[in-house]
Parts: sequence; structure tokens; C-alpha cells
Amino acid sequence: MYVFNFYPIPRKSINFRSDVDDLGFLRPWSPQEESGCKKQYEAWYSSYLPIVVRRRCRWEKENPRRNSHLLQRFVRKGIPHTFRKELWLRSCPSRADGVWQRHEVPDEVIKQIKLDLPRTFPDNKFLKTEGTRKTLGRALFAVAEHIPSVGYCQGLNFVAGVILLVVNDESRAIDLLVHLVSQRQEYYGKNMIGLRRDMHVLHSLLREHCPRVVVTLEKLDVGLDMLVGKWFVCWFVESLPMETVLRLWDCLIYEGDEWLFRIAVALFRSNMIAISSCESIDQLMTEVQNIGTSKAALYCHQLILKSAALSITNKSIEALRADAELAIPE
Amino acid sequence: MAARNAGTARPGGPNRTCQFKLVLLGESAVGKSSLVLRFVKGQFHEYQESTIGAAFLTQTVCLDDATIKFEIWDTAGQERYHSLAPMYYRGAQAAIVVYDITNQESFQKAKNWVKELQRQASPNIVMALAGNKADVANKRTVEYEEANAYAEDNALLFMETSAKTSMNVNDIFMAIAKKLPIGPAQGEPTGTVDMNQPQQQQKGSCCK
Repeated sequence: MYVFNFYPIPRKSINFRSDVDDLGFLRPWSPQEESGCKKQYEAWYSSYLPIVVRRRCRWEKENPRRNSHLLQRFVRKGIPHTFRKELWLRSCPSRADGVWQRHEVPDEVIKQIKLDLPRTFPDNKFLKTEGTRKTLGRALFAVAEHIPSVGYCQGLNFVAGVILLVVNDESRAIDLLVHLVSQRQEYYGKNMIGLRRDMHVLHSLLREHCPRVVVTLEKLDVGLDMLVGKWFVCWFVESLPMETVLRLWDCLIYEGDEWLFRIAVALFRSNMIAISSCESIDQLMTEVQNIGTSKAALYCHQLILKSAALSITNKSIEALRADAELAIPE
Repeated sequence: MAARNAGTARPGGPNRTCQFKLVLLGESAVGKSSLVLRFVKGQFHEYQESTIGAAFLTQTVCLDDATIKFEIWDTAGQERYHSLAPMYYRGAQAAIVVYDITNQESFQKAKNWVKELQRQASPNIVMALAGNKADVANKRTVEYEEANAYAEDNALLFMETSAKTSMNVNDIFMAIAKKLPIGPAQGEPTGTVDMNQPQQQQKGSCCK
């Protein structure tokens, strides 16, 4: 149990005695989970807590909102949990302003949404309740209503779940969900063209940043879609520890898709030796699944800083996407 | 052929390990992931999280004269993930097409998957049809006879299964294992071959 009496106690301090975190998720070391990694988390958190405390103080003292360059730097170093909702919603339009039109939602879409409500974080303390499940249903319905080309795509249920839990205000959470999905419509549309395109993009980036991984993938004849499609569909939810996901989303929401690629490349680089020495698909899948619990994934602050140092920008992504679009069928 | 030991592993016996790629296909929420979870880990969750993209698991089972390691690709059921499906069934030696016996539509969908596999998958693929959720047979809308007749017409293995009660779950994987080509040396396994129950991490205990 950690007590840092010499620090002001931050709102988001981890109570290691509890099996459930602030957002209602079971902790990775709870008896219901399998990993048995409490020690690892404790070690990580004892190094992370001082960072959280320091960032919170800096945010309060310097108010980075006054300058966009400063704000970018501060966002990358982590938005304190108290300000997260405010910052995530900062440039998010409201449905009440009539930004999005309403369209009729087919019964089939409603049926699919309903099927997935109890199948979205079924162990989460809040999403287990009937009330929050209904809110999730309304959120997914709103996406279908405003973005008919998407309707409902599995994976959005997990994205919506995290937004609801963090924003904790139904109306604004739905605004943010619709806003973020509308920026990535081609991902969730009928043939998921955006996903397939971005897997080509990631392949190109890996060729540049960790060629040994690409050699292994090609040798074993495995597509990135099979390995890490879920990372991109769910913006790493369920694939990385929750704090890492939140830190990544801070950057993703403020700066854009380049962050999905930055993190993916950084994770592959950190686990490059293990991955490139795989000799079978079985081994490869195991290693890729292990990335989520790797030290690189847990030490989120270091991961974000490493990712920030990669020369991957929205501009370079757009160029690679244009090339990739020519390469995918349909 | 060597005398058969009923279902027990024989360390050092004339045994080989063969790996086979198996893919699960079928409509959303029919129980694909639940069948795999039951088979691989012996667990069942009333509410199984929706699978995004696909999940990968392995399980090893022992036949009398070989060890079969299944590399299982459990795919997402939603229609739009269909465009990703070919990379999962490409090169697969086995497939389980799953429907929900309480959902007629999912049976139609299963037939479409069978057709697609017959057209696009490797010609020797061993295909099984699983009518899942047999524990709620009182709500059934797909008759056993109907599905069985369809399976016979298309030369599919067929069983009604329940991931919840584990009824026929191991059996359907075992039935597939028996039909897989386990190598030229000893010919095709024929007749009734006894097998032990699958357990995790058997690799070390038997064969090779």
C-alpha cells in the first residue's frame, strides 16, 4: 500500500487495496483477472505517482490553455484527471448547435447495438448496471443517427464506454463520441476501408522504423490486420493498460491520428527483439498479445515521450494514406 | 497399427505433433468466442465481450497416434468485418461455422459462410456446423433435423452444442481432429479412436 504523505494526495491516486479503479474497471491483479501482476504495477506506480503530482501542480500554476504550443506540450505530458474532461471537450462541437443532421436508424442497426450492450466491459462496475447500459445504448444510437455511413460498428461500443466513463455527462459524452467517430467515418463504414488503408500505412512505417519486424511478418505471411486491427478500431482500449489508453487519448484527441501510429510503432520497437525472433504464427501472436502487458505498455509516460520523438506527423500519415488507398481493392 | 490405449497419453510413444489452423465463422453473438473459451480454458461467461477483428488461441489435444495442436482464429461476427474474413480462413485446414439454434437468421448466415468456404477456402478444409445455445432448446427456431439434413447434403460435421453447459464442445473439436490428415506414414485414422479430454498445456506430457 502506497502512502505518499509528503505529496498532496492527487485525486487519481491508486488505492491498491481496491480491486476496482476510478472508472470502474477491475484491476489487472484482481482475482478475476489472470495476470497476477500486482508487483509490477506497484513498481510502475511508485515511479508514476510523482509524475502525476508534478504535472497537476504545473497545470495549476502555469495554465497551459493560454498558448497552443504550450498546451500541446502539456497534453503530451499528461492531462491531470481533474482537467481531462474539460480538455477532451475543449474543441468538441455540441449536437445542440445543429452540427450534425439526424437520419433514420434502421431496425437492424438497433438490434446490433442492443446485442452488444451487455457485451461491453461486462465486468465494469458502472457498465454492469442497467442505467449505464442504457446510456451506452443512447450514445451508440446517436452515432447511428448522425453518421448513417457508419451506423453501428463493433468496437465503437468499447470506445463509447470509455468516453462515457471519463466524461461522466451523457450529453457531452455523446457529443464527443459523435465528433470523434465523424472524424474517422471510413474506419467504421461498410467495408472498413479506413482500417485496411491504415494497416498499409502502418506497414510502411514499420518498414522504416523497425524493419526486422516487417521481415518476420512477411516470412510468416501474416497481415497487420490480423495482429493489431483491434488497436486501431478501438484506439487501443482493451489492448493496453487503462492509464496508458487515457494518456494516449489525451494526445489523440488533441493532435489526431498520428498518435495511433506513433504508439503502434513505439510498441513494436520496444518489443522488436521478441517479435522478430518468432518462428511461427503461434509464437508471433503470443508475443503481440504480450505487448499489452509489456513494460513498455505499462510505463505510459515513457511510452508517450518515446512516441513523441518519432518522426511521424499527420502530414506524413496523409501522404502514406494517399499511397495506400491506391493499393487496396474496392 | 499399434494397439490403442484408451485415451491416455503415451510419453515417448510413436506420436507426432501436427498443427492445424482452425477458423470460427458465424453471425454476431451466436457464441463463437464462448465455444473457444469453453474448449481452451473450460470457462463460460454469460456476457462474453464482443470480439473485435479476431482473437487467437491455441489448444492441443491428443489422438491415439498423434497430437493435434489447433491454432484457433475466432473472428468477429458483424457483417462489416466480413471483408477481413478471407485472411483468416485462407490456408485454414478446419472451420467451424456457428449458428444459434434460437435464431433462424443466424442459420441462414451460417449457410452463406459454408457456401463462401466451399468456393474460396482450400478444397480439403474440414468443415463443421455447430448449432450453439442448445441449453435453451425450448426457444429453438432451427430444428435439429433441418440443420442435420443440410449438413449431410454438404458433407459437414454437425453437432448441436452448448458453450454454457459444455455439451458437445470438446466433441466437435475432437470430431474435427479425427478427420484431419495427420500425415502419410500411418494412413488415415479410421474407426473409433479414443481420445482423452483436452487440457491446457498438454504439449509436454504427450508426444514428441
